[in-house]
Amino acid sequence: MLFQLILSGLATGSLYALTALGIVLIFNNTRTINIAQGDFGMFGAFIALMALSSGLGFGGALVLSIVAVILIAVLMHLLVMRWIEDADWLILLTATLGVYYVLHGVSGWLWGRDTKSFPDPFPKEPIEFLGAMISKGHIFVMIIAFVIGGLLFAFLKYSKWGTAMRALKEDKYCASLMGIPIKTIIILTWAVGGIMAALSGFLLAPIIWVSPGMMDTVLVKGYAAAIFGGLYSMPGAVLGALFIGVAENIAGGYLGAEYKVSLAFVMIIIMLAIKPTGLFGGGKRREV
Amino acid sequence: MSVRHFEANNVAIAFGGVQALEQVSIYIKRGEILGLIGPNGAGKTTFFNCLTRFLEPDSGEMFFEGADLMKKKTHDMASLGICRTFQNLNLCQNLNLQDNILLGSHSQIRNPLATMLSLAKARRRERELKKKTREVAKSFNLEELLDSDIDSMPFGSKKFAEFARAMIAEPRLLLLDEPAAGCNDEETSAVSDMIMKINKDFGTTILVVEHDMSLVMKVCDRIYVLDSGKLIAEGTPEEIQKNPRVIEAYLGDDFNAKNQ
Amino acid sequence: MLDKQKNNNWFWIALTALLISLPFIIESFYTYLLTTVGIYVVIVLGVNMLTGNTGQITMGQAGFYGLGAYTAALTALHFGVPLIPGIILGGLVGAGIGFLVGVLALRIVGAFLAIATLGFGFAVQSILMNVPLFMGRTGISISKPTIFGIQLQEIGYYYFVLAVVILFILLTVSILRSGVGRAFMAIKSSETAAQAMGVNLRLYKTMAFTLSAFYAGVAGGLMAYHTQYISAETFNFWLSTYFLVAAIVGGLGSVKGSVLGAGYIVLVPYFLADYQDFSFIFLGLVLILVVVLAPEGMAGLLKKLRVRATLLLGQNKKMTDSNVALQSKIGMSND
Ligand SMILES: Nc1ncnc2c1ncn2[C@@H]1O[C@H](COP(=O)(O)OP(=O)(O)O)[C@@H](O)[C@H]1O
Ligand SMILES: [Mg+2]
Repeated sequence: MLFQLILSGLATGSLYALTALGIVLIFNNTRTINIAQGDFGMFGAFIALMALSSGLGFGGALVLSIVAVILIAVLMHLLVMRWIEDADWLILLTATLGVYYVLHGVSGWLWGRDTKSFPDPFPKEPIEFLGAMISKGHIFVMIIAFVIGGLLFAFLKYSKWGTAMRALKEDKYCASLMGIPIKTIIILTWAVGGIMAALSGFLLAPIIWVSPGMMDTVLVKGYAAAIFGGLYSMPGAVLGALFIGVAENIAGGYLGAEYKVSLAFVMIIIMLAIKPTGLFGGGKRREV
Repeated sequence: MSVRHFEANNVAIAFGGVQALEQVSIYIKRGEILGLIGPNGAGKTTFFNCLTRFLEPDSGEMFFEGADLMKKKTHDMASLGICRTFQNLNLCQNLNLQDNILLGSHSQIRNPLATMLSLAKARRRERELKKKTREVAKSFNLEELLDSDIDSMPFGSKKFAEFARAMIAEPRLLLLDEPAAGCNDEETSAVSDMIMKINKDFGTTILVVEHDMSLVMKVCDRIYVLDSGKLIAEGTPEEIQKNPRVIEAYLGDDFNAKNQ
Repeated sequence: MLDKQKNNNWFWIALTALLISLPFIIESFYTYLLTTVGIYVVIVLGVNMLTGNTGQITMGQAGFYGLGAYTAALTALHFGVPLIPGIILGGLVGAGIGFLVGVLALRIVGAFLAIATLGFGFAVQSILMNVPLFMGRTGISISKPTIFGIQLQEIGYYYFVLAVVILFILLTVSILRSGVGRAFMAIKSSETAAQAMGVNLRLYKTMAFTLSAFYAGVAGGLMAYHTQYISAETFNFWLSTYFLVAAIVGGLGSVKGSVLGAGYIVLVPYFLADYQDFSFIFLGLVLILVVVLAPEGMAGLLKKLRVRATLLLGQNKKMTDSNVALQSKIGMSND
């Protein structure tokens, strides 16, 4: 029983990880606490649902939803965030809150506020894994999430653009001196953040179904996970997400599913209480 | 009371691979104007930040009037009698000049609750502080500007505003981080006059960190020279000017500057 | 300077006079709506002091609001606690929990508070939904408020709330004008400068946060008696963001802004209630426009308008210093 809870917890956790990665990526490169990150995914899920119901396959629906979300994220940058780039982080957060409102309103207007079911792209039948029963879908989801995480990691580590992104994170001024095209990189950041959001929306949709508010609690968990990495570290965020997935599944199994969100808050607080700079944070910060 | 008003022993701190301070030991005598000079990146600001507890040194100790500074927090400095100015102006944009100066008297708030509720006693104290603000502002030629926004003030006045904000707390040790940074010759000489005036009128002990030699030579009683985190010389301005190691350090700096 | 002060006083006196006479002029339903605005003023004042003055963001204020509401309602229901002690208790419970959250979340950077409070709001709602004591979606009904044994009707409660609002405005002004308010504002502008001047960052940030939670708790208590029915569904993430939106659109760091913002966030959704999606879109677009184009919000716009009006009316016979300064700020010095 416990092992089973852990296993399916890892599956949901890996989906939170996608949201958390998008959050950390955008925060690192733009100082933005993006409240709309979840709703990017929500919008993508609706687009995918539309595509599916108009007869497109899962692959086509996924591609369409990714393209749409990239578009939204980049537009958000070009129309809103770009103009306040140098403002206080508080202002940046507020602007994303405005976008959150708009995305919520537009999706409610286009598709209604009721919850819609989303077909499961993966087979449901359970298989045995090290003595625990787990649905094939969960395994697929986990594998996909890890492949994506791995791709993102490889992209940041080895590609020219990824290296430039990391340089930007270290020191914007230095990066500009080194001839790194900051403007392009920031657009790229939002695009990659959008891809992460679209994927997490698409993969979560069969589990939590589709509605304008579907990603609200996922957003909270994504941020709780990001706190594990002190908001800066991607491995920290992934670990945090997996941990939250497992912990809430265990707590849900024993206490009741209603308390899952409270658990995310409890973890944020515990994390801040014992190691406020995150598991992988720390070191001296530049002060004066 | 010992003559050593302030002393630091073997202070060291590293950032990643960079040893920003290496076994730095200095002392300051009561009432003197001490200079700490060195080329850019020598670690002067870092020393300031260790002293004022913005940074935690890896090792070393510091005492002010017998108090162990390593046991104190940044926000304790003002009530201990240590105030500072910043290398890059650090005034609060959302407060006018009067409130910026008043902020310097923050450590006099004893009971935040009574202060918030503006109880009679707190109101009386606030009135007294306002009067004092006016006096301090007058001595820095800022009286006319008391109601203005920081944005609208000329550069020189902003510099003096930082002085005024530090002085309203009546510190016994005043730390000035590159007070002449960004000043033209005229402003620099006004700043150095002001430093000497503060020292003379209030008897304040002053530690001046400067990159620029001329101001330091003019105002300081004694000077330490820092280069790449290490102390390389100590002495009176005349001695320092003749010291070959100092000349070398500064020439090297000039050489680098030309090649950039 | 003195002139401006006088102007301001007239603004508040006129507004108060208007508000006192309103119930005799407007329909009773609008009195009810105005009472709601008043309650929002209290909570937005707290949010604005935290965000606009101290520079910390809270995304879970509905949590404290809910705690205050349930405290007032449950103590009334089970122990017959009357109105005034009930809402004070609500405020204290909010402040107590706020203090605990603040102590933990305010250790490093402000962004962590935003995230911790985001989680807090959701956590409180799920507890209100699921712990039997709070009766979840069923909700709790309480009877009309009484003061010194006298039952308050709708108009009576309106005046009561008006009095509380005036009290909280005075309290806020008193805090902001004191050394404590100065420390708050210094923290927003430069944490390093504030620290060097002796401001204990953690203490003062926690103080600002606790105060805002106190305001929210009191507002929650007021709301419980206003609607005489509360249910857990009310205290959701949206509500938390509404309070923030009110502070920003009204005008960060401005008491007048809190009042205007509270009106805005109650009235816009009310008039667009039949078109909820458009209400969201409208609120979102206005928020973005304000953030990008008019970061000082409605209060800032009003101030600019007044300066322009003064100029147009040709009051140049006694141009005060502050007028000149303002003029040059909005780029009209060449007129
Ligand atoms: N917070 C910090 N993190 C990393 N490196 C730092 C930090 N503060 C200072 N340094 C480094 O320490 C050295 C000394 O810097 P600083 O004290 O600012 O020099 P100065 O004030 O003498 O010009 C420099 O190499 C600088 O890059
Ligand atoms: Mg320096």
